[in-house]
Amino acid sequence: MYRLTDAQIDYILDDIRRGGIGLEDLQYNLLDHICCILERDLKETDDFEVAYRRTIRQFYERDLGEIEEQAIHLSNIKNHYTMKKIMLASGVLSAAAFIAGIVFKTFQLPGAFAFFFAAITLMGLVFLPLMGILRAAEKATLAEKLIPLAAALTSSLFILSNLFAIQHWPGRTGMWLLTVGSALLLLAPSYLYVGWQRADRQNTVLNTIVLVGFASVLFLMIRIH
Amino acid sequence: MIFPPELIKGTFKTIVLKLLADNKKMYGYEITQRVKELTNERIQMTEGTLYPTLHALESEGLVTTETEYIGKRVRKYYSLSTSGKARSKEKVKEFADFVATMQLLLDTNLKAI
Repeated sequence: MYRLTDAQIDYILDDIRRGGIGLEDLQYNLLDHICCILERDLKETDDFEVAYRRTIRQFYERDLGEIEEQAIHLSNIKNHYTMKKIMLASGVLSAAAFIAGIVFKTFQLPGAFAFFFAAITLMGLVFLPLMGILRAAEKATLAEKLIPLAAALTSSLFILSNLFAIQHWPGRTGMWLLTVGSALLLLAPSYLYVGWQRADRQNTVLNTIVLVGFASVLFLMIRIH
Repeated sequence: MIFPPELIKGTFKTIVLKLLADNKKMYGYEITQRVKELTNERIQMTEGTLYPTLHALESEGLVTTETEYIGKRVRKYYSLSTSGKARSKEKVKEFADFVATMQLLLDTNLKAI
């Protein structure tokens, strides 16, 4: 039986993603399905690229993305697209407010803080939480869902605690400790656990070390806060 | 003869639920092959139909999943949840009733001709 190489599997997965499949769960289902067909039908002398194109073409009428559209349509994730639009809008507005804040601050114009406040609030309370929820919805297992949720929580706490620090608001130290705690106790362990179960263990360990390093430096910065 | 998609469009959930009721756990490719085999290829469950159906069943809590890593690939196995087992029986009965009703309707009309 033909055995697909890791490079061929990566190629198929990249192509599925480029084809408009964003749900990770669906990506892996399609990847396994295509691999099963190719390993059943391919002979050593066959051209992989030609066989792959022929196989994937049988999966759709218009384009591959229609499978995801249909999956979302049939599921109960009816608010998926609305949430995505709100996330994108809040992200764009937040970025624009950050840029405006920087310009106003640079030229010492009044109102710079109002822009920074709007940008941080939008990003910390709308954009990042929605991104975490939407990404988590795309994951298959509970452990995999925890990674985007923990990442969103850590990032939100990080920028909000900076706002608290800049304004010398009470509770800034507690927020900073929560940020570090979220990174070290939620994000790093869930990332390591999920990555360890996959084949890519070396990169998982390296990325976890970097993450723990950054979180530890954040902890050291507590005196600034 | 392959049945036209419009005729079997509303039956995919029933088919998948019944297959999962008869088999402890199955993955996507296995389901399509089993459908082909059991129907002598007269019903073809395409990938574009199967995965949205499985996704919907999972969202409704009718199936549970477990994943198996095969090198760089992830294989997702589906099995019926407790509510899925009950729904499977309901759906099969509902469809059997439908077929019986259609049979009755067609027989009556044929006799009239």
